[in-house]
Amino acid sequence: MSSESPTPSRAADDLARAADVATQLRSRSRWMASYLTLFGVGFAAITVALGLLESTPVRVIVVALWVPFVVGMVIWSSRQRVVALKARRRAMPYWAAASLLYAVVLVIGTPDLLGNLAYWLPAAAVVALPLLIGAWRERRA
Amino acid sequence: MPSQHPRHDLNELLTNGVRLSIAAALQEVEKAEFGLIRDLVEITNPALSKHVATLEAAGYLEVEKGRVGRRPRTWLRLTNSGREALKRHMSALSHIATFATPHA
Repeated sequence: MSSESPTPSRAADDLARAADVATQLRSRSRWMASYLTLFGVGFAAITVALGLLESTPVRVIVVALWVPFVVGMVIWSSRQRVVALKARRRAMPYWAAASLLYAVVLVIGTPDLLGNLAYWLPAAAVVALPLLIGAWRERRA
Repeated sequence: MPSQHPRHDLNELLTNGVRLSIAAALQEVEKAEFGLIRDLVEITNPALSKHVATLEAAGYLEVEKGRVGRRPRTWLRLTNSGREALKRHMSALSHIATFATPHA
């Protein structure tokens, strides 16, 4: 409790400054949207690659490229200096949906539909969709 | 019915502008790195450490130390108690700014 009251203009200044710093920090916490977008695109790319590339050595190379991508993304996220409120919890359902769809798409498409563009392109979009929706919602959160 | 001036709802700790800025900055995020708050509030490391210690002692702030690779990192997080205190303080400021009293 305070015995002295700030003037109305001082109180208004305090409120304005508080709102300003809150906005600045919140804007720095938007990286989760980029994170989900990049993973969405990455998931789509690896789905297409594994579905359309029938050569085993090339598929191995694609998977080998996926590993540093994931590691790089994890390192990048761990270096962020601010974490948005409940961002990880909000992202969970999108991760779960994308992972489940990825598994379903692979089970349905392998091996019978390997090389079938009409299957793998929409399948890649379906796999990416939850993460892209998550990214869109994160930008608006 | 007696009215109470909104200044009675102000929080003594948060009447300090720097501490108010620290708490306000952290209110809408899960946690933020010490250096980022220092740059945002535009103060030195020792000054921020002092304010953080004050807020931590009041139970308004949690300090989490960790590492990213080889680099040490200190994270600051507003507690639920800190959020409540900030909310009440901001509400009182809002009433003062508009000349209104919370308990008419």
